[in-house]
Amino acid sequence: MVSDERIVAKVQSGEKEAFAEIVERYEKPLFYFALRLCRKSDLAEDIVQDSFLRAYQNIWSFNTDRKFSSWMFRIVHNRTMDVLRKERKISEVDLEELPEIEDSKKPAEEIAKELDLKLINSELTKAIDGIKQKNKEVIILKYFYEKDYEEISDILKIPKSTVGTYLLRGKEELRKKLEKVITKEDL
Amino acid sequence: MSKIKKDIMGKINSGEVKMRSRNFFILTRALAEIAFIAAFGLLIFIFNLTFYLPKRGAGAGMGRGRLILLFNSLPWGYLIIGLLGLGLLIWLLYRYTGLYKKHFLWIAGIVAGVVLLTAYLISMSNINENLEQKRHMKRFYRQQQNLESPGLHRGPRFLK
Repeated sequence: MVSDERIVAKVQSGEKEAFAEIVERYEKPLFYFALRLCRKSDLAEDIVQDSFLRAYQNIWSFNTDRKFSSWMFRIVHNRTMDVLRKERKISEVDLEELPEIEDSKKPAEEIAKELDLKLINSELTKAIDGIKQKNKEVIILKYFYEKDYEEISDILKIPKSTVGTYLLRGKEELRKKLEKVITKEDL
Repeated sequence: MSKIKKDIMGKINSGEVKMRSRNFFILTRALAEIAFIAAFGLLIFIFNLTFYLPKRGAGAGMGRGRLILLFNSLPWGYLIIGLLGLGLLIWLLYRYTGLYKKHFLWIAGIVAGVVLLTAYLISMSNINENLEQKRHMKRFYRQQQNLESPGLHRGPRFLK
């Protein structure tokens, strides 16, 4: 597979169509990243589209010593923060409704397992949305996108040591929130 | 082809969104570097004045009861502008250069240290005296003398 950096070099040399490959590779991860931060799919779509256009306009400012994916995530992160700042508040959590179980032939155990997973997922999403913004960003990048400290540091423009601090704090916040949920449900 | 991809490629191919040239970024980078260097120079000069101006009239040196005189001699305007400028410069350096990889306090300490130490060394040298001899600067230094709050160089009677 051709590396991102090589495709960027092609775009820089004037091959406009090569940018389509970049969009294809990053469209989904960036959309879900923006969605996790802003919680509105139409807004996330606008943010991603705008971010791609900005990336194209400013492609010469990309430092080839860095990872292209970090640069792209950074643009989406900045754009999302701008939009959220304008809205002055982080949108209410729109938890996805549990999908109806279409296949009634599924065994009861499997259905229960699926429901459990959905519930865990929705509680986790709710808990992640409830933690501090900075900690949340690090948690999302680390556990949903499997970014290492170096990349998170480049995306959020914070020292690597701070990435570790936010991660610890985020996990602690999450643990407290999820503990409450589990205790409540157990009662 | 997805809707986003279609929209993006449509805007790019139609020329609605254009790539900025390489020279644009070279130029903006060069301008930013010049601005940073100029800001450093200006801050050093400002802090040099805050060290130099109170010292200028203090022939007798620091002695008993002189602390209040020194306090009144400080060019507060320059000091405040200098501190605000220094804070802004540190923040800009941290935010817009690769320095974010280091701890903020570490960077702030180094930048502030370099600016203050350089300013102090300049104020101790005869650079200010030499500048005062220059035609345009002569006027500037004279103005500072008049604008300053009462202090060592004017004598304690101004404190009354």
